[in-house]
Amino acid sequence: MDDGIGNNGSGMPGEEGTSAEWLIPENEVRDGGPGKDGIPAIDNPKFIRVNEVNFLNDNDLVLGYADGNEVRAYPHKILDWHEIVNDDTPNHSIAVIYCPLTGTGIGWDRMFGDNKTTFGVSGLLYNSNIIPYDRATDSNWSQLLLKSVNGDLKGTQPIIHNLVETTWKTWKTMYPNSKVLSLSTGFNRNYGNYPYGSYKTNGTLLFPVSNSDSRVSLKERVLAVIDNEKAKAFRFSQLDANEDLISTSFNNKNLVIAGSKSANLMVAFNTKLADGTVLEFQKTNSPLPALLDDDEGNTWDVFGKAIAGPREGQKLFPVPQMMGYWFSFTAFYPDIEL
Amino acid sequence: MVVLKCVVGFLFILALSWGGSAQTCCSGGVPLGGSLGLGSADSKSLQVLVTYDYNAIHDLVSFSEKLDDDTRSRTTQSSIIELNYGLDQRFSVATVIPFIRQTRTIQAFSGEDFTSAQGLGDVVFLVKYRILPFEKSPNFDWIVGAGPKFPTGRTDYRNNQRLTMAADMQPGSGSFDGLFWSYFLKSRFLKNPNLGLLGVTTFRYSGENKNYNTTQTYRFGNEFQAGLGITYSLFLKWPVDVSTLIRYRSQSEDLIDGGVFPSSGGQWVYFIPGLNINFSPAWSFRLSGDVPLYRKLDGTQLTTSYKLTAAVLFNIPFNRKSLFNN
Repeated sequence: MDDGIGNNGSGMPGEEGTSAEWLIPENEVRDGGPGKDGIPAIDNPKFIRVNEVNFLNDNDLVLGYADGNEVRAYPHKILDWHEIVNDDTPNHSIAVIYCPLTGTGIGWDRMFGDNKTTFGVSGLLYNSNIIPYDRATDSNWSQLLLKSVNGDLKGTQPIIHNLVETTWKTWKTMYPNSKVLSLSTGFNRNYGNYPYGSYKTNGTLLFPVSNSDSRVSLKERVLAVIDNEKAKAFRFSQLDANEDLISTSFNNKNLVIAGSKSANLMVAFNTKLADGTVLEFQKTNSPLPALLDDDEGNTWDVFGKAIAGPREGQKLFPVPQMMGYWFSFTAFYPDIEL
Repeated sequence: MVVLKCVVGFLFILALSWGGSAQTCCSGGVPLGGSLGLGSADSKSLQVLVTYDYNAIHDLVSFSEKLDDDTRSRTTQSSIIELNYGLDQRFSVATVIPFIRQTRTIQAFSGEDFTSAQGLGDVVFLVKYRILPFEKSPNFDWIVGAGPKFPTGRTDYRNNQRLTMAADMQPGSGSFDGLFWSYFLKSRFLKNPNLGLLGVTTFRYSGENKNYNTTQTYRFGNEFQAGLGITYSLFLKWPVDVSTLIRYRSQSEDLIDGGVFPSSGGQWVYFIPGLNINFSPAWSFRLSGDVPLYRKLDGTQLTTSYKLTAAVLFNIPFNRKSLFNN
């Protein structure tokens, strides 16, 4: 069963107009400076075991991905310098796409029909957000719009593989036997130094955005769920105030938001299963990565997989989501719910 | 005379081949500050300095550590015409007109990705003042100057995707800047008639481009440079001066929309050997190179690997008593 969300182009009609035209305002697309592939994507990632990692501090963030029993972590420290990792896991070929300026990370499937591609960093930005390009067709994509916005694949939406973002401390506790992207990237970079100075904590942006929203501070990290060109955001403070569990509806979907502020982890799931069953959830007493118990007696983990109970092995229906800075989501989704 | 024609022809071809004007920055950039190479022209005398400068920006440096990476490289080629006219024995005026070509090469996934921008740079105008009159100080010349840099260069060149390129790839800065310049030459240094001590100091106070990418503001960092060196005169077929200069350069971080632009600014020290051949009182030829000795950068940047400079100086006295002063 495909774990991803979406349809990678075969059967998905593209937008009208020539491939040279953009689905986004062309005059708002910025040259970020480094040039195409000036920030080199990692195409041959190497991995090491958790106990071999000596370059991460407990509070460093990682993006995690699970493909069956294969669990991998991609540290921000490396992603800050490369932004894209083209990886092959046992059942999927994915691109881990991370934008340091918006703090957003997501996985996209690299299969388009029968063709496999890799993604690169175009060097362009829209609303301060990365524009990856696929090397098969040279089409440009918007990470936060979740589709191609220029080129032969314009309008195509990728199959999405949600990633879990959390701290290294939480991750290594949850998955002590997982694989971690190593510093042997094939490039020589000073991974111990953050390339953008005080950007994470200052109140300024390097590139303009088309919309701003002052309900939350600019660079507070929130979880945004994106569905059919709409978005809803969730704050750690809200999660904390609701005892680590929020049941909500969004875009005619019933969602459960779970995690923990202390663990720096927050994820969202659709409460309706593929077979139509709607589950009721409560926070589990089991330690992470266990996250939720349901009314059928199942326990579900941070990746939405049942790890105990009658549905063991099944997965909750995913919804596209990313952790990121508040300003980035309001730029793309001005009507974002909070 | 044949030699003169060949050299002048070569440099003029280089000077004219790039077209318009521009100024750019980046970790190497246009040598406006470091290449204000003329002293003060004598009264009623015109000096013309035509310079070609090749700045190879190949080194990827993280703070002070050079990284083993050849995926990106830049070059800045500048053809600069400097005109210096002596109003009297103390005052002179100078204008600097740069022609710039910037290139960027990236070893991309699909092959080499090449981008360039070229044109007229930002023009400089200076008023210079000789602090010590020659009669009172024949062995020590000290000249100061100040003036504006005008935003005559374009800042809207586009790449092959029709998008405006970043500020450091543009020929112009889009801003009015203020320049301060100081030059001294101590002849007969250490009582040696062939030995001279020279120093050049420049400071550029950067203004703001209020129309960067149409909606943003961009301000290059202020730049300070100070060079100190020795020049030694030899007498071969023509009078030849060999020189060694150590130049310190410091640039503060660039600002975009008032906020610091990461990985910009830093400190550099260069070793600059040079050669000046005085073919006649009317003209001379210069050659020099910049070799980085020390770099402490803000963040990770591409920076100068080496620089080569060639120049021809013409001295055109309107007054027969005017002396070549360099």
